[in-house]
Amino acid sequence: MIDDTELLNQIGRGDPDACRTLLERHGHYLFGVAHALVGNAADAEDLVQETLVGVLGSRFRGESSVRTWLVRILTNQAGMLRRKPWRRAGHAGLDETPSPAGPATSAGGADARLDLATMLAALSLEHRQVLVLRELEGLSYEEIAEALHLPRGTVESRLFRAREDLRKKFKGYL
Amino acid sequence: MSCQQSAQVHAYHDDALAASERKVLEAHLQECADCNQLLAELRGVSNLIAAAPLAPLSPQAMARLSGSWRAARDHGLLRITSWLTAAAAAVLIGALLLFPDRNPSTSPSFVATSTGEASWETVAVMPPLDADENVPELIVLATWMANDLSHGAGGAGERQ
Repeated sequence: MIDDTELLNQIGRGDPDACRTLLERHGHYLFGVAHALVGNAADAEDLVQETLVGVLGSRFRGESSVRTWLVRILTNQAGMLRRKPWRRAGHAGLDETPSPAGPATSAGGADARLDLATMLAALSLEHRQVLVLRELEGLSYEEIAEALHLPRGTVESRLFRAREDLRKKFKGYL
Repeated sequence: MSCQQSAQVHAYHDDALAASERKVLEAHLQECADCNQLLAELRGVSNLIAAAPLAPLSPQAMARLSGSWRAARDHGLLRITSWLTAAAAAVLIGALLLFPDRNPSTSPSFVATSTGEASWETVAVMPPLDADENVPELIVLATWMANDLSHGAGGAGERQ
């Protein structure tokens, strides 16, 4: 099986099969993370699309796995997507922070797991970005700061606030 | 939580403390029930997130993403070709401006001779034979190159 780095090289050479393979390999995960970041399927699809376009204009330096690199682009794009004027004019989703009445679950029942989008729904996009990079991709504070172009102190305070919110909200699950 | 060490506990949970700070906090955790509970809950939050299912991507959405990515890639190729076209034309126009008085008899000819004895270099860059004789050669050549490369760029998008 071709590894992800080689796939990126092939994509750089314009190989359409490599594009399809990379998308099949990581598209589901990227979409799931995007959905957790933006809160709805339509925006999540847009966000993945912007991420894929971003891949064409970016260079993978091998400092992380390709998946982590893709998620870094995705979280960055989430911030940029929100700043697009047509979205501010009335496109729902990115600025919404729906607050579920109670802890919803993916399948219902006492032992059902919370889905990620439900868990993060009450947080701001800024808090979701740092949480995704820290909790899902295991990036250090410095790496998150670099990925989101933020000072390290801002990353720490956002993570602190995000986790405190989740800790209080889902105390019954802990 | 009444303990003032909560930020340190968060950093400890993220393995972001220096060795000396970690030692101090671990000593503190031996005696602070609040911080111990906080640490346990932070681990619980991390476990919840790690176990949380992600929203599924439908096959239709996957197909749309695949198509739009391919279109974006083709558009990028088209744009690069357009830039190359513009750059080539700019170089030729620049050459014309820098050397406006070149004697045609001493400069290489870009037009095939009447006897058809053009060298391969001449043939390779030969502009249309019906070009206006009053227009300088370099202008004719620049126009021809721009048109030719633009055709090539258009073709790039149609290949897929």
